Amino acid sequence: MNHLKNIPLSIPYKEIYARLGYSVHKTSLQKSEKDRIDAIIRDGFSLCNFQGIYKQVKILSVTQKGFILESGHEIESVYLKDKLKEYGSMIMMAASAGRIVTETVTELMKKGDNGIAVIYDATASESADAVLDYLQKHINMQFARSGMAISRLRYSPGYGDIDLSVQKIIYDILELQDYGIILTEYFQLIPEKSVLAIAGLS
Amino acid sequence: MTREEFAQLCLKKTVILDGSTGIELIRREMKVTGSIESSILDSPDMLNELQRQYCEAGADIILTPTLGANRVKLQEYSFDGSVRELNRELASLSLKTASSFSTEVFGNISSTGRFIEPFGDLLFDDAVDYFREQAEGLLEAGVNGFFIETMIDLQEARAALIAVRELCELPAVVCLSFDKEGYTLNGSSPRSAVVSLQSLGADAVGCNCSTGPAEMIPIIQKMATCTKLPLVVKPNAGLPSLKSGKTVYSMDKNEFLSYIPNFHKSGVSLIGGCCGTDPGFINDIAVQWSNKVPLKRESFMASAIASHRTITQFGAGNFTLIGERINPTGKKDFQKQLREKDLTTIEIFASEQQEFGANVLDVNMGLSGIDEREMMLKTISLLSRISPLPLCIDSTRPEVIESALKLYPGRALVNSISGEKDRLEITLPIAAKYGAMLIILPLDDNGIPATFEARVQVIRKIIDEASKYGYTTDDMVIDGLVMTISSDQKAAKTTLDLINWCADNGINSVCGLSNVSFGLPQRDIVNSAFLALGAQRGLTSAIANPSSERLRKIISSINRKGCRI
Repeated sequence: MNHLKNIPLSIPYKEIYARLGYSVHKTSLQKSEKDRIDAIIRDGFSLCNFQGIYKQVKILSVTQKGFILESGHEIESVYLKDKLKEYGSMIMMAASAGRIVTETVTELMKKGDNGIAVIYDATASESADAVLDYLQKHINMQFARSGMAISRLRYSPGYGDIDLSVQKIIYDILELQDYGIILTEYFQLIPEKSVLAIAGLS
Repeated sequence: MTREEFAQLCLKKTVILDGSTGIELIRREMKVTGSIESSILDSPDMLNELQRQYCEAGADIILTPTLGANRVKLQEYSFDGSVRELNRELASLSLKTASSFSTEVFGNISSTGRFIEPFGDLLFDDAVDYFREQAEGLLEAGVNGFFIETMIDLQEARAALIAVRELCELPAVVCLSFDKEGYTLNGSSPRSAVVSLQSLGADAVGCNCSTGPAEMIPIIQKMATCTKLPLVVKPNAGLPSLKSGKTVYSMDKNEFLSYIPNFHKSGVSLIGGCCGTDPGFINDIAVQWSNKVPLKRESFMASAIASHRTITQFGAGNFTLIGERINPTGKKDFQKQLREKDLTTIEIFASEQQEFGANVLDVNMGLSGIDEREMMLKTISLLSRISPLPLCIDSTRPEVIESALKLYPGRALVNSISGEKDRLEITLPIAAKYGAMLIILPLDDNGIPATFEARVQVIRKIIDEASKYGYTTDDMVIDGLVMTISSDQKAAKTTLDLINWCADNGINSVCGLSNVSFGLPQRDIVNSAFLALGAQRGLTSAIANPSSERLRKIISSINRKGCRI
């Protein structure tokens, strides 16, 4: 198991603005407005505590419906099979922006500061995704010297025909309960700003 | 090979390095069980064959096959032998092969794969110990130098270089891996990396792995602007892709070779290959380039300090504003927070000062009733994560300065080195070990000299002492030692004369601006007026509160006209 704490992420401004509905061609923002939004993004970002967890799991066999992993788990997804059938292993990844930012968003909503809450929420969501980008680069560096490389794309439960229940498989393999992450019976992650993903490893 | 001999070699010719070792051995179907390093001991003939081919191809330097032979990495493979012995044995194999050629062997050191504080949980001292253990094994075998490479974290590269420097004075080359956007995975810029590593005693700096040659050219060009050290490139043969379940590198040697003229134009002195390259690549580089003399780089940014993300240069026409606010003196609420180990105000001060245009943040944790060392380290950890600005470590206690410089993932400014015996004998060597830039305070054990001439005398003495540790005046900023004019109205002139002397001698100067107005009304006006007077005499930086609009306007005006040095 590999666990990275305090990941030194740069703020993904472009993605955060896109999530907030900003379009270069359609949205007009005064400099003072942009400065204010940037400042709120920075505040929201400072509330995040990024961590990433990943593990390599060998693919034992490719079946008609998906994969059987060395851990004994079976993942059913024709979509994923098509994408990763040439890879010998999967990399299971989890990223989290931590608890504090989500709690702050809830408090702000209660107080009626919805504008700030939405910006904080977008900041945490996009930053958690950026942690996965970071993990992919980190993993590539770690495996490159052995002649291995991680797939360019990654896939998350809920995407294509990858059932949400696959969250449970990733959760168990990564033993995420040890890192303060909870999975509910409806496959929701707590802290809310946490994401799971699978990539191939050649 | 001495460091001087290495420097001369890099001036004389384009130094040819080897290509990929681990990946090439795997491509040649070496059986891998456990780590690559342990597996090589089971197939020494395959390594010998590959390294012989590199030597024959014209490599001036080959690397020991010890990239991942550090304790942390080997633990991933449940290695339970002696790390030192493994390194010694592997290095001995390379040295034996190279002994039939005029090829030097450098000990190869790379990442542990863990994050080091302040970003991760691996203690900096532990990281230095792990790298020292590896380097000791390599030294026992008799390597001619060290090659620290494929580092994705500047802090880890610092730890490895410090470990090597603690052991020996052999040449040490340091390469980091940058992504396509030109930053290391942890966000370090090429300039930050170079400024930090050259101050720690690297003999050559550069980049390897991660990208192909095309993406490395702009990185090397940025590095070239701020160092006189030889530059190194070891690119991959393009970017990896998956073919039939195997990772392959797309670029053939002709395409690879087509980028070498650009590296040469950018001032590169050492060229080799990384993933996907083989002796064929190295042979072609050597045939065409080994006799070419590297281009001489005339100018570079001197007097720079760095955070792990950005650099700040003193002088060169720009006025440097050092934000003074992270200092508990006279701030009751802030003092209370520090006693409760609450860093909230520090975060606010850092952010506000950055927004108001500070180029450097001064950090002073001197307060009775707190553990200064502990709070300094907490503050550095926080600021390293949230602020891109380089730091000025402001303390009178050598142990605080040492811990701070060790932890700081960049090149810091130390405030300050005076002519006092303790500062020269204890603090100065500490600052030198960690490559810090210095604020020089013109006072000694006899106190503050009253005259300009006596202050210059103290400064000359400090410069002489510092030069014994390799410092030049480019690494120093002279403090004009501003005294309050409310008690001595001639004091300001002494400071201005000293600033003038610094400018005439091409040395950067600084003043703690708010001292001048202590005890006076309208302090902002007095401070700003003094700043303007200082700038006229050639002042290049000030420690001040950036929130003053009047001050910012004056600095803006100074920058439009350009500082005198």
